[in-house]
Amino acid sequence: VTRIEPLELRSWFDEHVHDALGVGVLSTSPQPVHVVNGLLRHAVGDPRAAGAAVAAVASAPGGLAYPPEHVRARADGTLPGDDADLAAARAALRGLLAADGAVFRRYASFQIAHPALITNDPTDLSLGELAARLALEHGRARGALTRFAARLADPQPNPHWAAQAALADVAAQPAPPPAAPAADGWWADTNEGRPLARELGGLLRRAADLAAADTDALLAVHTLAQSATWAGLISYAQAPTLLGGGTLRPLLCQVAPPGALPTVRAASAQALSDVHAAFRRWVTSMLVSEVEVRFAGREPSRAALRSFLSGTIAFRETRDARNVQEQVLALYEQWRETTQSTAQAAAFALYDTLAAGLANKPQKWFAAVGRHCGFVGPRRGGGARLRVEQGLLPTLVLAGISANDGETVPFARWSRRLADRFGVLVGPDARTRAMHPRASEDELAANARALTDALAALGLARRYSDAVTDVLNPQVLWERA
Amino acid sequence: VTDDALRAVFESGAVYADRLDEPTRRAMAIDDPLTEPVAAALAAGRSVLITGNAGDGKSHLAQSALAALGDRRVAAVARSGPLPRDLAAGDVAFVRDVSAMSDQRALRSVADARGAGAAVLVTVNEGPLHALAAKRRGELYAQALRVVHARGAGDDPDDPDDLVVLSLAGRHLTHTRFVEEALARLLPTVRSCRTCAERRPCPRPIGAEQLAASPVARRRLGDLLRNLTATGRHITARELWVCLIDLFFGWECPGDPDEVARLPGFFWMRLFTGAYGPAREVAADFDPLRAPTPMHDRRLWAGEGAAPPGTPPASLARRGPEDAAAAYASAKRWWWFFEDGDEPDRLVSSASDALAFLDVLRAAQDDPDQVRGAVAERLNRYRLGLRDDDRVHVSRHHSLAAHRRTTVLAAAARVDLDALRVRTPYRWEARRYCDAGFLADRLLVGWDGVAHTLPVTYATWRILGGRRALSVQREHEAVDFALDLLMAQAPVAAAADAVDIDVFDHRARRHDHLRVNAVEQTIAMRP
Repeated sequence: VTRIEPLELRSWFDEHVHDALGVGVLSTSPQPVHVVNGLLRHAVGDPRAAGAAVAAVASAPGGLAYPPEHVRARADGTLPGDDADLAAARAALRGLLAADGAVFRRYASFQIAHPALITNDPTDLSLGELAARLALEHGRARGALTRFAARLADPQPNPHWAAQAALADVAAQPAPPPAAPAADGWWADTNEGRPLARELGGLLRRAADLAAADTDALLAVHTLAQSATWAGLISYAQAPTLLGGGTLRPLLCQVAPPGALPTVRAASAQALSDVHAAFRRWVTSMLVSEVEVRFAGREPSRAALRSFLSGTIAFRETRDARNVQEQVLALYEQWRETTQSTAQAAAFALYDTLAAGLANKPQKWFAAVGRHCGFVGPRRGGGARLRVEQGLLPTLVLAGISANDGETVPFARWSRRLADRFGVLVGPDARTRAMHPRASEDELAANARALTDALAALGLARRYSDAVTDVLNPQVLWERA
Repeated sequence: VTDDALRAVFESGAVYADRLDEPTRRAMAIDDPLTEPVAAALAAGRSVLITGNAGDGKSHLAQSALAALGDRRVAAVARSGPLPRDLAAGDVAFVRDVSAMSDQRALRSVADARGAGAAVLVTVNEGPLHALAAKRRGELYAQALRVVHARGAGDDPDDPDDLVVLSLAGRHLTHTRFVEEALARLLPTVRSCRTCAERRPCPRPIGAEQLAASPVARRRLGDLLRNLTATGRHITARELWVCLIDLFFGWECPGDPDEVARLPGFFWMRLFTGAYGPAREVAADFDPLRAPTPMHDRRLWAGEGAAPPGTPPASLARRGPEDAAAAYASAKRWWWFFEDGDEPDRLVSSASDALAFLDVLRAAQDDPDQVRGAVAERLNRYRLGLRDDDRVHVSRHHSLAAHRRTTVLAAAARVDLDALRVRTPYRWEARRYCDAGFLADRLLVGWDGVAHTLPVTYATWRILGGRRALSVQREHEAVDFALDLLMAQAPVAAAADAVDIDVFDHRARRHDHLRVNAVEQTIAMRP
């Protein structure tokens, strides 16, 4: 029996799933504040250690991480000398620099308003890098992002910029540059994925354009952060289906309050479950290919296959490797009874072993990151479903805008673009009617009304009588006179 | 038209102007101050386009105006059949209910009539108007739509030279004599329900007689409906009719002779417990039952009032708490309608902000500059805990997370009131047609020279008047985010060196004042 190299599941997952998807899905930590930091780090570079700012506001269990004397030494005369004044200043600065609680001793992502506070924090788990690649490689956004970074260096009329500029380590050396981008061959470079990548890149370019134009810098950073985070979620939701030869999945989002519209709620929850099911199918199909490649496309003998499987190294380190190998073999025997191909049965057994090690991490990642950017609800508890919360609305508005649009876009056209470009649905549509379970027409219409209400309440749409709604183009609306 | 004929219409609830015969329509017609200007425009050869929601009274207004035209030739454009021929200057083509005809017909009939020099009178819902405006040959519709949308957005464009544009969507009939006039036609026709017939007293006619005899009660009924305007509720003419009809004709007494079982049939009960939309919304904003009046409550509980039932609630309590509660509810609501004096009116003011917001809307409609201080005060207090109505503190936060509320807001700039722009929709109509009920239901707040606008509705106004919620409350999140977008557009310039920053921590209720110099890289506390 020729011995085939056994599969190490963790490295296989990193190499194939992570690299093909372009994003890590194994931690619930990433928030928009991390993602925009990662995006700017990869897109415009020059990250700094931001030592003075970290000393002033970094958190540790029980409060601030550093004692006053360390802060004074590090901040080099920037902060008050008096203890009481220093404590008050640090409390106020924490609200300006670290409102999202993402600044710690080792890892720090600030509420960026000044480029000196872009850091090397890797907590975004490649989401920032993904957004940067989409923007630069597919969205032609290099110029806009560069202009944005340059603009952030100029004085801005908000309190955050002044405080961050005062704490900028201008004399400090830049931190080590980030790791090189991942290898080629990810979903956005495939024929199936390229149209979606272009749309996501276009969204990020529009967000960067806003940021580079005369729009308020804080608002622009917010929109860019939400857009970058959402781009990662959409990649996870759509790329596996596209790579499998399918079309965009229907992502029905509940906009009405979480307790309302039960049929929309159910359909939206199912849409999210289907996203994860598509991800599982995609990973399984890659495992099938992997086994076939390893056996050079020939149907392996039972003994060869058992030998291959018995060498499997689990996703997580375990003291009982022998037990894992026995489990893989047992799973293989079970799958063999219902599967024609031995390679397929082996792949299914490997997937089950991988899934046990993953422990629903991709689902938890999507739910947590989705909640952080307003794309998943409810905020607490189970029953995760796709939602649209207030904070995501500027991103969605930009997502449905085109280059030639004027001041307004009819709501119907705008929502059709969301569906065509990203699969995002809110109201009655042929695609929502084809979903199972199917939301009622009345509730879908009410859901669409909830979206127009929400847009109008923020001043991002104008509603007229008889439910006529125009979505306002932020690229025109937020331009200063 | 006899009372019996009108009663039959009311009993059926079918108050569609399009479907009533001419005598009935005239008997129900309520003088509309818009009739004369529409008729005058047509007589002068100008076209008129009336738009609005279904039920706003477009057809009724058009028919009234045509009736006032006298012997002028009017050619109606029907849904099908040949278009009117031989039109000439001085004639009027009446294109009625455009939404019921094909786009082609709606466009051609207008083009032909105007080509012949005739005036055109069009009634169209705003949805179809939007669609027609985008068509080739839809110039009149496009012209009208631009005007309607501009006025709805708070601009004041005049009518085009040859066209009068009226959007009834901005009209609130509760702010005209409509309710009083409708009651005058409706109350005399009210009779006992079929169950009671002539055999026993029925809540329907008893309530109707008492209301007809009490100007105070009629005014208070009108006030409650009027307050809905402030809550953003646009009640159409048809809805108003149906609501009032439902108060007196929507109830059938049960066979049970018990007087408590018949209490829900009195209009003062149905207004707060009825199933019909506006009634439910009235109850959501104000219900006398929720307003504590200890002195009166004790008297009403003891039965010292003229409200049905004859048995005091205190006595009914021996039978069971539910009967006593029902009797007390009836007594309290009756008292609120019929009590002389100011106390019932004060109850509304203290229980609901609607009246106060209505005053703000009216003031803004008269002169938007009047309310800038009040708007600034609410913005400053809600965001930064400051009581300052002289300027707007440009309050910012930079939290990027959508799943939790930010607690710290800060301002590094202040803007004079002169830069704050407050507008109201339908202001042009309100000034042009003073008594026709045009009234804004929101303020449109923005900055001078900046396109972005924050709509301040009653709900927003109430939230801004309270304390900023720190837990998850989507209404507060929406208001806060809308304010973030507004503040982001504030006309402020970046300071070159030192800036004074006011920081407010909402959780600790703590103000801190920093002086930050970005050039010298210093941060100091200010007193």
